Amino acid sequence: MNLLERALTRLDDALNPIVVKELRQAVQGKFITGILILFLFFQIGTLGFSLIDRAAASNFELGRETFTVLMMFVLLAGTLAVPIYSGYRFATERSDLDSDLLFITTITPAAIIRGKFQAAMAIVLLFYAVSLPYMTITYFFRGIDLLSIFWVVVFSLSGVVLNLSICLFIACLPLNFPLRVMIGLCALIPLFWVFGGSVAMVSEFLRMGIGARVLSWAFWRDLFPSVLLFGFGLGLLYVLSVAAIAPAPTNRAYGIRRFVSAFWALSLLGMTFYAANGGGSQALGGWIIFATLVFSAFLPVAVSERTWCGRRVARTIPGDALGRRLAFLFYSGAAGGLIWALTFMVLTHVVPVFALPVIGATNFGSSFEHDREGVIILALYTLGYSLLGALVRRLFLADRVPVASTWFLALLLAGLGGAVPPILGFILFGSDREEWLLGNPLLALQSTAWRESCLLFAAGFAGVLLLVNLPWMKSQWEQFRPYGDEEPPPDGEDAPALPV
Amino acid sequence: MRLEVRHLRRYYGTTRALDDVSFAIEAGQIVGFVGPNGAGKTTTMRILATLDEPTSGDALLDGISLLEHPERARAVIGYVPDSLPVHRDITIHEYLDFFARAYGIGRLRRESLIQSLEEFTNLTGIREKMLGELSKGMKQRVSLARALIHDPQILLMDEPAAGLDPRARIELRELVRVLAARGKGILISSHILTELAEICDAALIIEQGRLLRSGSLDEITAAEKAVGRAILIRVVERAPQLVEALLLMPGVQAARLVGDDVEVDVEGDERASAALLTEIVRRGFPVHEFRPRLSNLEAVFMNVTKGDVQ
Repeated sequence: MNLLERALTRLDDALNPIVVKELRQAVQGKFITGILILFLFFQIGTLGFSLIDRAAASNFELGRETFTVLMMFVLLAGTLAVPIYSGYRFATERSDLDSDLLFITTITPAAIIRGKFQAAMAIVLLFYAVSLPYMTITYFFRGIDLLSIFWVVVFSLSGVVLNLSICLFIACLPLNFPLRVMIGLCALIPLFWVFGGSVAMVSEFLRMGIGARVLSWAFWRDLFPSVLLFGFGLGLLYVLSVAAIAPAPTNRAYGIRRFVSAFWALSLLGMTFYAANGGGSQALGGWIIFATLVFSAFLPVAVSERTWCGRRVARTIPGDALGRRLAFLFYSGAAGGLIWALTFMVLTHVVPVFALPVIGATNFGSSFEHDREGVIILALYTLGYSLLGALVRRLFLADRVPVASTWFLALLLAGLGGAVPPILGFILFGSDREEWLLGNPLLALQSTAWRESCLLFAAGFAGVLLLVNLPWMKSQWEQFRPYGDEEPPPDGEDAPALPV
Repeated sequence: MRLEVRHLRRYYGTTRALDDVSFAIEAGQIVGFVGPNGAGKTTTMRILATLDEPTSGDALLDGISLLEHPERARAVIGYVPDSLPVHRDITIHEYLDFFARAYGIGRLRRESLIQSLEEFTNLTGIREKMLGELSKGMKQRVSLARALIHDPQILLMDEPAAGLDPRARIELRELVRVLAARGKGILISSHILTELAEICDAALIIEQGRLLRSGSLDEITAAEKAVGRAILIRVVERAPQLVEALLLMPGVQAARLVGDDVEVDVEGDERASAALLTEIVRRGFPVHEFRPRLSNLEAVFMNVTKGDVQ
């Protein structure tokens, strides 16, 4: 075997099997070929139309206009056609059987998601590669420079990556097919929104002459919060997708909590730097509000997690006291998840205070306190209803509602909590006083006058439920122990062999 | 290689899917796994394939816990689930190549390995066919080839004969026999008990998550015989009268007409059967045939299970 063959063998062995399979399927399927031919037809048509247009000779913006149309076709393929195709394929393929078969190989759930993503990106890049010669020609039509073409193409990939991640995530959801189709149809809204946003971004970048501005510090500084948000969304979709397809006995929440915690720390540093360099203290205030909302969203997710860990996870629990405590927060588990979210919520409001002197400010902006109060009330309501959901499920619906659906029960209870008391109040006491609405989490956001009452009510509501659920959480902590190597096999006896 | 299952219990909420299931499989042994739908067969297989985790209990592969070291188990266990591959726009060869890559089998070994598996499962001539174009029998062979790609020592086959035509079933049976002869331990579940009885060395009968019988086929059927015996009697004439007469005789639990035969359940051992024959002849019935009804896996299964699901 010569050097080249050896290198090719190594490369072949290093390839993600999912990528190889997906690309083979794409080549043999009719969809991608069909879309590609259609795509080429439109690209040539657009160029041809621009060339034969009589007004072209006097139009000094022709290059930019043609490029925008060509870019729209690329974005149609890249942000809509290919992601929807990849997501649909994954969803139909992701029967229990297929994912099961993969999990008894050496492929990890993360490698599956990465493979799907890489294969879809390879197809998108094929569309880009096909389109680039036509896009470059627009330079000769006037009104656009090559640097702008390059940067617009690069930035447009962000929409592709985002939509692809959304589609793969929806395909991963452990739902039955009709429900997945329904959610898929709902997801068309953000997909089209991203497509529209990408088209608008292309127009705006071309209008402002991105080629000249892209290398300036101010450009990247202004873009920083969006880049951060984009990175968070992308990373979160990735870890959520991995968790969604991981087998039930695995430590599903670990990757998610690790990512969110790491991103929390890095983004805090980043936002502090951004605030100190022109972003202002209100940027840090915005970060606090956003982080609180994110951790609030994890509360109903946490109560929908299992309350015990199997031996596969137990054998990875550290034996030392600190390690065990940290593992409890980060490993899959309802109580650990709740404490993790609450801990980071508290840290979110405490740590940035120490950053204020660094950025030379005394507060987080004029409207910050008002916004902070709103999200804290919302977080308390979310905590209260999540714990109520867990309690009701445990006491009355353990046989009927699976643990994984506790979030839905909590949502239902929040709806009932908002609607039933005012109805009862009216029927039983003929009263339509606003106090009956205190169970409604949206009241605090609607009416500033009721904020204080809502805060008190939500704090009391969450506090009582926290106390009631404390034994449940404590028992989870007590059960969360490393699996001892010295423990004898169950019942200590051998099973009889069946005679041959 | 020895797979030992120890006191497996699996609860889904309050539903008990497995209750204290213990057994063991040795290399080269074919063990039939029999039970009504919802009995716990698939749950057991999924646990052994490391796809699920028991509430308690363990499974050991040569003494190594499958729960604690699932990655070691995956290297030696092959799993043929009860559904067939559904990938579209992919040929048989590419499908096998994909799983070979997924098991980390390098390029140099991969091609020859897939080729030998295609030959073994008789897929060589159709290797470039799309998976979606295959019949159930062919898909089952692809599924088997896929499960064998990493040369597992233990093979778990969940209803592999379901939906197959007689020819495909016979082919599958032969393949299973060859694999056992090569030293692989095989746990195979099926609803076609006569077929299982033909290829299995031993059987496990499970219902409502509980293992009702386990052992070699001879042991299981002998255990049933010990409880009482069924005898088939063929007379030249007066069969209905014989049924009436039998019902009045001491030691006879039941008697009925089954086609031309009279089937009678007798309490006691061979002496009781001999005494019964003497009495029938004494009463002048023209006995043409008198033989014990052979107890088989199907009969045992019908006797010990109630068809209950959870």
